[in-house]
Amino acid sequence: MKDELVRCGLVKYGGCLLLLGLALNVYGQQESVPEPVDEPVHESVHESVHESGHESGQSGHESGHESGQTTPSIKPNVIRWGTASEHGNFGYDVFRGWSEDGPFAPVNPDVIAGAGTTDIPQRYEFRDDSIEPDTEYWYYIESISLSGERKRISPIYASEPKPLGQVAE
Amino acid sequence: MLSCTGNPQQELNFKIAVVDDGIYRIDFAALGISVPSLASSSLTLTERGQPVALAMDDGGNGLFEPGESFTFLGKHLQGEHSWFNSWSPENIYVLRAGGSDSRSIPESGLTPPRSVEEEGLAGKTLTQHFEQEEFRVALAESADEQTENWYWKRLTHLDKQPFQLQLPAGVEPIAIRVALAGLSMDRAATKSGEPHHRVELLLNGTGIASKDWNGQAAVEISADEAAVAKVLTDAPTDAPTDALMHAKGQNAEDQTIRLELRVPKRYSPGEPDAVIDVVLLNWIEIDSRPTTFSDIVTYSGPDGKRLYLADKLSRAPGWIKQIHHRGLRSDSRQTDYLMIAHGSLLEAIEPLAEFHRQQGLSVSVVDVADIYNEFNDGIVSPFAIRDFIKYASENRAAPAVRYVLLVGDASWDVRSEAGRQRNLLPSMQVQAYDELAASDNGFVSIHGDDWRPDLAIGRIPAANAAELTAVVQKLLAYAKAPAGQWRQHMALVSDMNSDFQTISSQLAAGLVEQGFKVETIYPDEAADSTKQDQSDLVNAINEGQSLVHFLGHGGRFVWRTGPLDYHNSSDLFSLPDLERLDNQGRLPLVLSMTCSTGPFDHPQAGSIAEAFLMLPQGGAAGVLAASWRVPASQTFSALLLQELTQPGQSVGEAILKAKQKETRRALVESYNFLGDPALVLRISDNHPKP
Repeated sequence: MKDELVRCGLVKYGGCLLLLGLALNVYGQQESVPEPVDEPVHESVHESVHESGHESGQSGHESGHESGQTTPSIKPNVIRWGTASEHGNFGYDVFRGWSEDGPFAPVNPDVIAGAGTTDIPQRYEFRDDSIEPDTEYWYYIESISLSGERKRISPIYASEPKPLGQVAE
Repeated sequence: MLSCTGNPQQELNFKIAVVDDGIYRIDFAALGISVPSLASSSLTLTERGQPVALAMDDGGNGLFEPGESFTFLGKHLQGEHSWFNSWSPENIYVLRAGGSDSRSIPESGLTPPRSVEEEGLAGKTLTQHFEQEEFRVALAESADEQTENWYWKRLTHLDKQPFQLQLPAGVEPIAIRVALAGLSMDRAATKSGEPHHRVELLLNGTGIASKDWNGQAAVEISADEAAVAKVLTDAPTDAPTDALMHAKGQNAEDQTIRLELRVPKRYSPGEPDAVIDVVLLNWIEIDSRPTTFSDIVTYSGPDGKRLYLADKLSRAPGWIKQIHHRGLRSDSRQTDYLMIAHGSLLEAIEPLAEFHRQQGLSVSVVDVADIYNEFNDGIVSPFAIRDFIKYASENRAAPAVRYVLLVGDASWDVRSEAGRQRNLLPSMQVQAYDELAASDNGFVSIHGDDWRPDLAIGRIPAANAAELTAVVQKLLAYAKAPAGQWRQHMALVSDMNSDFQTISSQLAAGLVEQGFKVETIYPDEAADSTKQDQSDLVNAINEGQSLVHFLGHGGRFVWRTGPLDYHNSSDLFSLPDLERLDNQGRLPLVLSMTCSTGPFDHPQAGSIAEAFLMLPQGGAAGVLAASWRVPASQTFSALLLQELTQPGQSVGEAILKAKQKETRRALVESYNFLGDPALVLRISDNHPKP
């Protein structure tokens, strides 16, 4: 006989039922990343959460503009991910390195607010403007719980090098 | 006694809805009655059964007539432990007119607007309470206490703008109290001795108080008269006028006083000593001296004299409705089945009631508003529903009530208009791990002081009559259809977890021994995609299964192939798959033995369990699903299957018996049955009718 909490993801953080379709989606490299598996649900539910007036987190998007646009003519790397549910979640940090093996360091100027505790799907986005031209970067996402625990919740993905001269977003 | 001049014998009863504190004025016309007048002395007003003073303006002739009005002091509906009530924002005052047992009413009245000096209030303290309920959370540290679950704001250093409160014009604070609670509990801070929480209170940009504390405790930040005065009144004597204005507000045009709460930033990505800090704002109270009010009034009630500002005068109630007592307390008819419905759904549920009557059950369909009127003084509360069920179970003729069906959707948000509209029939709430979860179990846990159910219960979470009609027609077709061979087929579904698959296989073996044809559907870990698994499941349901049992990982909208795993796991069955179902006439009972697939009380979002049931033609005949996180339990599943396969036993009574044998409270309370509890699976041609 085995009793197990039927849950997934963020287990160390007091339990999380499900964390779905974490999709690190770098512009220009979509073929190499998974699509959000619950895209239709995300769209409809996401709007309704904001209409409810009971927002439980800034799940919209977070911009890296504060970190300084060193190369304004380069398209930023945009990292997107989503969750199906969160439990005791404070937020996320985005880590960046120059190789798959690291070293990695947080690239977001401040934590990206999570949704706390919810079983409503959430979507997040971080725009990394502080990139150099023709440079490949590697990213992963780390979540931080309300008790301060950290957990890497994504694989390590590479961005496609961006040339100079593109129009900034 | 001539109490009602149009009809002397008739007693009229009205519900008056009050949301905010204030003086309410009720015009004769607002009662919407056709009698020419009412005897003023026959009018009584009560709140929760207690008399409330009213001031009659009837011109002195003793008759309440068109063009006349009365006033009373209305108060918002408080919770047992909180400023607001969790179940309804509307307090109900009951007005009775006529009848033979009118009681005397304490006299009271409004004074005309007067100045502070005229009222003798100069130097007295006025306390104003500011609170809103926008954020619901169940604090783990207070799980066993009756504490606040609704908060105004969640505060962190990430807030784009710190929380601000502009005080109403004319209010100059002399003392300020802010009630907060902790939410985060940073373990690193615990080790280093840093406080979990730090909040600063600012007045017009100047810090006047701060508080450090730990855990999820409720605390107050207080700023006394000296601290407040230092900001507001201790301007240098030679200060220019604009400096004083700056102290009181932003500029000469904006003289409002601004209160602000800040959570200092103690977190930076990558910093080893970063501290996570999330706190909850509950309420703010401001003490002030009413020196500038020129239009205050007093209202003298039985408990003394009260001060009111002019803007709280002559409020209009939210609505007034006449009450028609149905005599629920005096109804002693034997009843097998109680169907409790929102008024808008009474007609649509009647065909299901009539079907069960034809099957030999005595069915009573009750408007939930009548329950509120007779069991809770007109105020919305799920506990009134439970009280009625208990009363009916104990006082109606034997044999006692067996089934309860709740007809209507629920919503835990009664503050927003959209949430209220969806809350046709409220659910009870239980603390499940770190959240509150919908639970209908409490409605039928009526005997003894344990948490186990005593009656079979189900819910059809329809939002309107059209939805309900569609489901009722579907269920009637199911019940009336020939008992085909497909009803001996069952599908046991799991995710990629080998333990869950083992449990499912053992459960399947037991069913096979009973003679059922059982198909097991387990996602293939080695497969490149789950499309085949998804198709297998859809096809199995379309072919006809009397029962589908899923054991695995899941969420509000989905059964999954596994836990969080960004490489391997994905959706096994989700809302889009429901649209692929073509199983009209072959509806399964779905046992969704996973987390949170049936939280039916969200104010906007649905769930896969609701979608299964509410699908107009296909889908499911009923769904057992959890409203929050639950442990997987072979024991509970085995109990359910054992009872559900008893010939002729209804689904509701099978679930009831399984829950009565289950030892874990979380399972009993978190799993709710969506559907008709008197439904019989008819898994064999020889099964008797209920």
